[in-house]
Amino acid sequence: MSDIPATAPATVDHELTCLIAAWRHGDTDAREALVQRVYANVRAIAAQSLRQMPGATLSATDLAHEALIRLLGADANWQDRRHFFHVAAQATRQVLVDAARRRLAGKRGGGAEHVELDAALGLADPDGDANLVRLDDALRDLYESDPRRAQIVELVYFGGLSRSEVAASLDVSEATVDRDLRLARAWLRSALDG
Amino acid sequence: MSSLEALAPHFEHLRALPAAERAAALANLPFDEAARARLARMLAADEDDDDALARVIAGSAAHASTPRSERLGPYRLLRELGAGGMGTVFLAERADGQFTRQVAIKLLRGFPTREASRRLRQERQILAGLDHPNIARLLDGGETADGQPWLAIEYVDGAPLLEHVARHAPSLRARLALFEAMLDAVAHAHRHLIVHRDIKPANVLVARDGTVKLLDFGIARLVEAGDASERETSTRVYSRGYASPEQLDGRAITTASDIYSLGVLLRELLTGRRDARDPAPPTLAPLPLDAELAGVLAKASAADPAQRYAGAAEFADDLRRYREGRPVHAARWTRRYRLRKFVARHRLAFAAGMFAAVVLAGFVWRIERERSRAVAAETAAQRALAAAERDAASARASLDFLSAAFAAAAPEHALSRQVSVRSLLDAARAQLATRTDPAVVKTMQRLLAHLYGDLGDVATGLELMRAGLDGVAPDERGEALRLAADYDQYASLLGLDGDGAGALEAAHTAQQWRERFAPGDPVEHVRSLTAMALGHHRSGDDATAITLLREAMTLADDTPALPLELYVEVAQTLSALLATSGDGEAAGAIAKRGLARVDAVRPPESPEHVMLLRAQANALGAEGNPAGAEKLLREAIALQDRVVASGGARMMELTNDLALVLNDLGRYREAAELLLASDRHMTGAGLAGAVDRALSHGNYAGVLESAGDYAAALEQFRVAMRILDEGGVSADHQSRRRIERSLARTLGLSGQHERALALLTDLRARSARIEGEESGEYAMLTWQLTLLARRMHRTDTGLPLLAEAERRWHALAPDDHPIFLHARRVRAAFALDRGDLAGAARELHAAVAGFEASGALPVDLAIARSELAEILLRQDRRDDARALLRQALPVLRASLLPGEVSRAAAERLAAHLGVAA
Repeated sequence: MSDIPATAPATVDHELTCLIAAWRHGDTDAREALVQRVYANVRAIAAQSLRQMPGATLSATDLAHEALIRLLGADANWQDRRHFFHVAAQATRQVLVDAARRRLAGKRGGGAEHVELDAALGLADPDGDANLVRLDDALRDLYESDPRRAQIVELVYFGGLSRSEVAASLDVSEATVDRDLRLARAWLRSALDG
Repeated sequence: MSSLEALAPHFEHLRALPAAERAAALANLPFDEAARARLARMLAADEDDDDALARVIAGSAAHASTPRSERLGPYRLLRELGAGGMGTVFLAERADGQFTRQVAIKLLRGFPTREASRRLRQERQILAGLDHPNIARLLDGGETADGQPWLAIEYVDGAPLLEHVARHAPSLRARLALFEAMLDAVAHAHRHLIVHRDIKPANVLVARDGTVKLLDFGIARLVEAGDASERETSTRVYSRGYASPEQLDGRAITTASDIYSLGVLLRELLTGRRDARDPAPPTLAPLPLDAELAGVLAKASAADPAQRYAGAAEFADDLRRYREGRPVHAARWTRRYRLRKFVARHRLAFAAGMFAAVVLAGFVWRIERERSRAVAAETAAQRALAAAERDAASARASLDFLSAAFAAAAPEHALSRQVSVRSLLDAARAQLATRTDPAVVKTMQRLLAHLYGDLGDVATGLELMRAGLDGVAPDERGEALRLAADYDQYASLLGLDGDGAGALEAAHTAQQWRERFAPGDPVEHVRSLTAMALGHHRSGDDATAITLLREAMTLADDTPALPLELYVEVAQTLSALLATSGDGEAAGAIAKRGLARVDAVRPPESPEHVMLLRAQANALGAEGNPAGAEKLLREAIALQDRVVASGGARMMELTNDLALVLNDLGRYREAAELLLASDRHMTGAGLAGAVDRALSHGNYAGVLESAGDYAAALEQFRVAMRILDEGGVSADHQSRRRIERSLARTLGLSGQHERALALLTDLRARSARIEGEESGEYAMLTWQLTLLARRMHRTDTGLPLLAEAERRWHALAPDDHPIFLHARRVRAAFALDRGDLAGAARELHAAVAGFEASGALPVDLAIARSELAEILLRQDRRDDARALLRQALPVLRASLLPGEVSRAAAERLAAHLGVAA
């Protein structure tokens, strides 16, 4: 109902769009630059959310989508979105893992009282952070030996993409995504259990 | 440790084995113990339904803690109720103890800019105005110290809709009653121009007392308002399973988008599935759907917004009719449009022939049943009228329903063979041949005639209509009026077929039935007059059409009970014809009066308002006020875009009008771009009439000519003329003559003087015969002959022509009309041809002064200045010439292409004088 004519979203980060284009044309440095930028944003979003929304529950998927909206705008084209989600999934994973590592360090340090209080309220999952760090290690190992399957896990669990979106994004069939996902999930879970 | 790649094939193989055989197979693998143990753990993990990875990530990502007695405005947060895509919801109570009422507080996600915050507050005001028993009220709102927006909403203690249904398994009637309450709420919001945008079961709560409450009305929009994006087409907030195709594609979201989501929700409410094709087991105990209910669902969630229910009230009305066992109907006024859209869509995957025959038999039987019902009713004179009207409505509705039911049935029943709409109709026609009851056959023929006409097959439509009307004479009022409507359609088909006389005769027959069976009924008389007027217009006689429409208008003004759409049709048609004939003042008065009548009963965004706004704009254009017309047209386009889906036939007309106005304003490039857009709207709307298409090409050619691209303009004219020839449009047809007139002008400009002269002379003779020498058309043609004579440097024929043109214009236009300044430019050119430099300078000085004083088009003034500069050069006043040219050149370069004659002359002069810009 705005009487202002439609314009491009002010949030569109043109530099980002250029980086995506460069990456699409095979520039791996561009991808690194992208990850750095998106990482900073995902972290800012998470921090801001926690400061401003006490009690808010922020999922990995929310983070990736929020980063997309802020950096590319809601109307980004599919090509840009697709590339962006690869980066956002990776960045979200890093943000979450870094935060978990910091919390683990804090527990070993002077934050014991607060941790106990949270535990008493049934609000914190004391093993959650440790498990996430282990999952991240296992996923990193998997990236070394089997990058495609590792990426599928990352896109689904940290990027919030559906199977059909992953299939389109990696240019493989949905059946392949299903099979790889099942296999990689079993592999990673067996790594956590072991 | 073995790599995943090495274990992968064995994992797949072992998974497929029965559990009992796995241990043995595993033991036989040529791996070490660690690898075998790993595989065993993988298989165990695979069997486990719990998604441990998701749990680990969520556990770490969710930073849950108590709200720490956080206060928001006057509220104290008690506990978290849930979190979703749009933010987190808390239960809260007033912290100042003023009220004990609990509220739900929603913290919206996203971090708005200052401008976005302002808009968010504005939107919040609008939402706070929603007051409906089935809508959870927005009570309050604000921002945290950091600028995070929050809303306080009526707290509803109840269960989400699907949970409620799963627990209580209500009957079909009870489910429909719940749903109708939701429709009532949505209708209320739509009346306030608020679109929900995210209707889904999770946003519907059933309170403990059984009241349905819709949550989050317009919140999706609010979240978007908080976003920096200003577009209507955000994909940001919606729920995939319920969002309409336009929402998924990021196209404009309208009230029709809510109707779609409601259709999906109703299907899930009744069958436990969001999509009939979903192979997954239903989430609820499903109720059986009969064909009518399936049709309602198909119509509500049609992919094309134009095919859905026009509003929540119409949706509710059809459900009510269904519950009461009455035939469900589709609103009559949208019938033809929707049918046309339906058949124009891609070839639908229709069921194979067998299935089609079954449905068709049922369809014929249905009409027969309706028919006998009507016959029985006719014995009671008192009830005859109502019965006949219902009969007509339901017979047509069945056809509508046939379409919707087919669309719904198609995906499930589509076998290898696909049947087009056309072959379905042909099958229906063949089916008819086996029927013997003439009453049924003729009714069917007339119905099919409408459909074939909509398909664009005028010949078959005519053949069927002729057969369906043959020997049919009504013997009561309702039937006579229905038949009159069929004759109107017959007239329209004949008009399309180029048989103007036949069309008039058919319209006349319709009029006779109306006069015999509904004498003195003003509404029916207005219908007759309108149909007759359109017949005359179609055969190219606008004068008679205007006389008839004036009579209809007078009658309509005196008949408060006249249906609004009929009133608007009369007002709009009359206004358009008057404007085209040059009487902008009368056209404007009619549009203005029409707007007053429409605005008294409809909101300003109604289609009727938009149509009359367009009429008013065109009237201003005809009065020579293109700037005023532009303003109104932009307003109309904005309204059209906002409430109705963008695109379509009406948008095409509006864009086309705006392009012509911009052309008049000298903004040719903008006009050309709009015409291209208009052409896309036309293709999208499936318009294919020869005259309409030719006019579109003619308009485009006109803009190209204005911008000086004569070659491209002539090519467009060639296409337009070919379309007219192929469509059999006669030489005397007004639209053809208008296109030819423009063609002649372009021919003259491009140097093909002899061809232009022949065409203009012929056109002027035709105009003298058809409109008379006093007409505007004749004056225009005389003027164009004058301009041509000037271009050919024919002072001998040119001066008498100029005198005659001026004389005729003085009878038609006020003395300060810019045409008389242009006449001075022409007189100057003739003076120059005779070597009368002083005379030429005198005329051009007067023209420039006149253009300056009257605030004329910048491009007109610039052309006059550059012409004067040329004279000054010849008088050796080089500095004065340079000064004038410096003023004129930028305007000429911005508006005209280099090849346009005036600009080309000015550029030559500039080069000669050494003027850069």
